Amino acid sequence: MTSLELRNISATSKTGAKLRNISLKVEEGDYIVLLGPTGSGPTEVLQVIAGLLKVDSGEILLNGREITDLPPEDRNVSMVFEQFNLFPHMSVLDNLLYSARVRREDIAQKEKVAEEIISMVRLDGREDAISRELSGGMQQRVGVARAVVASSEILLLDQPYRALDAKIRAELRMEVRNIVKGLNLSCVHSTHETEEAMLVADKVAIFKDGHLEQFGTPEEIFDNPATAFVASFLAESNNWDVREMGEKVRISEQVALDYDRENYSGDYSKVIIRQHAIDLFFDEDPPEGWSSYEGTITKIRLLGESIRITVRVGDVDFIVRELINPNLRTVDRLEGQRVVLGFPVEEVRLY
Amino acid sequence: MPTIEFRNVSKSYGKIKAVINLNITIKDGEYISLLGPSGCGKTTTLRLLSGLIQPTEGEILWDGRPIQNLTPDERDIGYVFQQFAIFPNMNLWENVAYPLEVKGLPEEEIEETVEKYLELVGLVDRAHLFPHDVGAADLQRVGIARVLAKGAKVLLLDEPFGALDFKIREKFQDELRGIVKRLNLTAIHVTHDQSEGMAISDRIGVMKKGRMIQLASPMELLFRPSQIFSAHFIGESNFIEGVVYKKLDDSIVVEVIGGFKITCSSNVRSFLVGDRVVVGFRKTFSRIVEGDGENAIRGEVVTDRYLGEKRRILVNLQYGMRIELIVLPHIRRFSRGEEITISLDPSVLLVYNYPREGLDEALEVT
Repeated sequence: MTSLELRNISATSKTGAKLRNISLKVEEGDYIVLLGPTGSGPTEVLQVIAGLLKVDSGEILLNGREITDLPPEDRNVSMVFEQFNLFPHMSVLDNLLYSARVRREDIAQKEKVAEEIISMVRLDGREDAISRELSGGMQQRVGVARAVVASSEILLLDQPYRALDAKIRAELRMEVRNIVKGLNLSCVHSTHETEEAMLVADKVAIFKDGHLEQFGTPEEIFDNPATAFVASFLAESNNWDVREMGEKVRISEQVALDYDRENYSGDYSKVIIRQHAIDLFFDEDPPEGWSSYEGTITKIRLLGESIRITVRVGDVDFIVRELINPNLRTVDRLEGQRVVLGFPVEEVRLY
Repeated sequence: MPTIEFRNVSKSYGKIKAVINLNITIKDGEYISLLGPSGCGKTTTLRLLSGLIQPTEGEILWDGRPIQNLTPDERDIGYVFQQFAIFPNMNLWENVAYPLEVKGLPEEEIEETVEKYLELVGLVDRAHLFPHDVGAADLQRVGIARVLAKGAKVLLLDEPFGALDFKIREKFQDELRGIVKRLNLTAIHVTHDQSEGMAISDRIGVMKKGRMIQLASPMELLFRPSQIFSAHFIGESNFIEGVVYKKLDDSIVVEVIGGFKITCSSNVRSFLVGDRVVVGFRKTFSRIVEGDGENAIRGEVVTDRYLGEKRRILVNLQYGMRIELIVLPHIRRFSRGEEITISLDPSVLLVYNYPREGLDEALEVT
């Protein structure tokens, strides 16, 4: 069953960011992530759903009911922000029960729900703790719990982990997804972080300049990116202009690449090879059928969990990204070394 | 320029201990980053060095001389913050020249110095522009040119790229490191961004709750972290509890949770049979194998999430212990509940004494 539907939504935010003709369906229990650069649309879509941003045209349906012109308080949606927006002087439990009190709901019954949720978000024993004294990660869990206790029809998470340290963020993102899934809630979550989106989403919507570029499961959008923007936003990429197409695609004076000629016929202007798709070969040959080029390692950059290696081939820099592994223990000494780089021909994507 | 030494330095605010017994030496011309969770003492360390605050205990030495009695102005230090302390009513040239004018330097010297440092940060052609005409990165360049023009020999940088766009940030990191090295300055840089710390620093200091946990090169922290918290905080690692079961010539065998016997061969000489230990390994360092596998542990898959360039596989060992593997996307997919065998290379396993405060607390980030 469709939980939320946006039909041809256009809107303009106070900062001038525009949404252009967005249509999107969220099925019941779906965890949807809206992904894109700052100002490209994700946060604005959440604001439109919550009623915080008025639409210029289009319709919003929540469980079949049109809510396009309803004020925020009548929509039964809950939004969790980057800044946790808890009442700092109130206890965890009071924060959770606040909306029930305002709406004069049955507090005893809500208290039972709140206790269950507190346990689910691993805050047992902290019911009476004052919110401002909790860590950022805990406060964000309270934020999610509050939205759940309010029995909203849909949960909206607006960059919920941005204000948190990277380690806490990594711990919290799957935890919140599990809570949401456990309760069979529908959820729409905005972020600029590709990994966060891929990790938690059932489906990802990618935005650019207020347009919805592509909507699909993480696998669908990653494996078959519809546009050059989607391809390079989802993974760090080598991005070149096409100089000439023929048996090969020429990207510079000295370098031309093989490409899948059956798949690509016609005119193309961009060539993309994702950094992680390229492998380096020091003592062995690349697998059969791969394209390979000899070059010199010119730069090594440690990124934590991965390492980025720049290889100069002729007059072109290829950037290669490797997950750190034991073979890279001496990677810092590789600058200036000759190396063969290789990649499967299907990784040469044309747009 | 100077060698800086912190000797038993502590700083308390009432009952709160912001920095505890800090003992480090920062070498002449070295670029150091301080990394750690919010509130770990990184910024307090910078402020102590700048003279904005005084230690509660211990002393700070410059080239062997205590500096407690020097005011911030007397310490050849340039402090660069995330927010740009730029005068909006002055053009870029005037912004850099201002502190020199206040010092009362001769006009010719001011001209020469301002030009030199604006050139260094690549702004000499745009010196006539006003702050509102240039982007955030250029404002930060002006800030750096100004502290250098003032004669700073030590740069203290507190999240200097925090306000910059990701793409610009990286270029700027290279640029800043280049300037520091070219002028042979000493730099201490606070950041919460690991890749920034790795890219820019000679050594990284990992801090937690006011203490310096480890000060080491980026490669050492990635491949041979000597402390359990640095192994956890830098990059991503798994930790499994166990007991030393057997001691061999150059290795030990640890019986880990689930009864698996794992050989570990890196830095294990000091361990004795019966020692309670924690075995750590990077999430990207494991190999999934079919069958029993060598030096292997087994568990049940909880989730296998596809992230495009990699996959994250969450595995239940026993007694509620979970580990996560980061693998390349082409490795076969696993379904929930499926058994998985993970083979571990003895030379990449990190062995630590079981922490006195307990494993959870030792790894706690907040």
